Amino acid sequence: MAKKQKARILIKLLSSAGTGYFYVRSRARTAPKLNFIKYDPRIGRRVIFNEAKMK
Amino acid sequence: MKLGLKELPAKLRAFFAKFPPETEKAWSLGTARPNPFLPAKNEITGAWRGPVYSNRKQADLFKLAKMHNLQHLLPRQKTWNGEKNRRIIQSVIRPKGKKFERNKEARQEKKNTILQEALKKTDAFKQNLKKEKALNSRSPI
Repeated sequence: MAKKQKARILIKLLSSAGTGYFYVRSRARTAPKLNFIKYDPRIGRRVIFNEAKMK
Repeated sequence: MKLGLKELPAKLRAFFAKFPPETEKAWSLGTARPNPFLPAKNEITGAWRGPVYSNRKQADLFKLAKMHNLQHLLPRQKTWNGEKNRRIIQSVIRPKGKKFERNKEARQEKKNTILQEALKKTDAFKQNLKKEKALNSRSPI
């Protein structure tokens, strides 16, 4: 039998400053993509974190 | 000290302090003086001792002495018997450097531009949020 898709998925919030730092979060599969302003410790500032796929 | 006011490198200075040359022209006048660059036999025990200075150190001393034109004041070396036409390279001409060293500036610039763009985008994002909040807070009436 085919595996049923989950209602929520895990996503990676990746720093737009190119440092590679990320946060992990879950959202509903049907919800729009997430963007947050969060703290990036590698530069010591707050920047936008964009959604990226969790591998 | 030798050569009056000229400052010799520390290695040479230490060597000449321990084994000073006998004359201005040569390190030793006769064969009686024990050579620190060659192995020597203990008369009493009959055992041999190795050279006081290893081949590498002898070579270092020779190169330093040659730079200051004092090679005639060193004792006979173990492996360098007679000076051949030898060019001693005293400095590296145009060192290439490692790849990451060559690319360092470009990488740093790229990082900086990405960071600046990110900060600009963050500011724009914040402005947007404020606008949306202002719009949403207005009552429908």
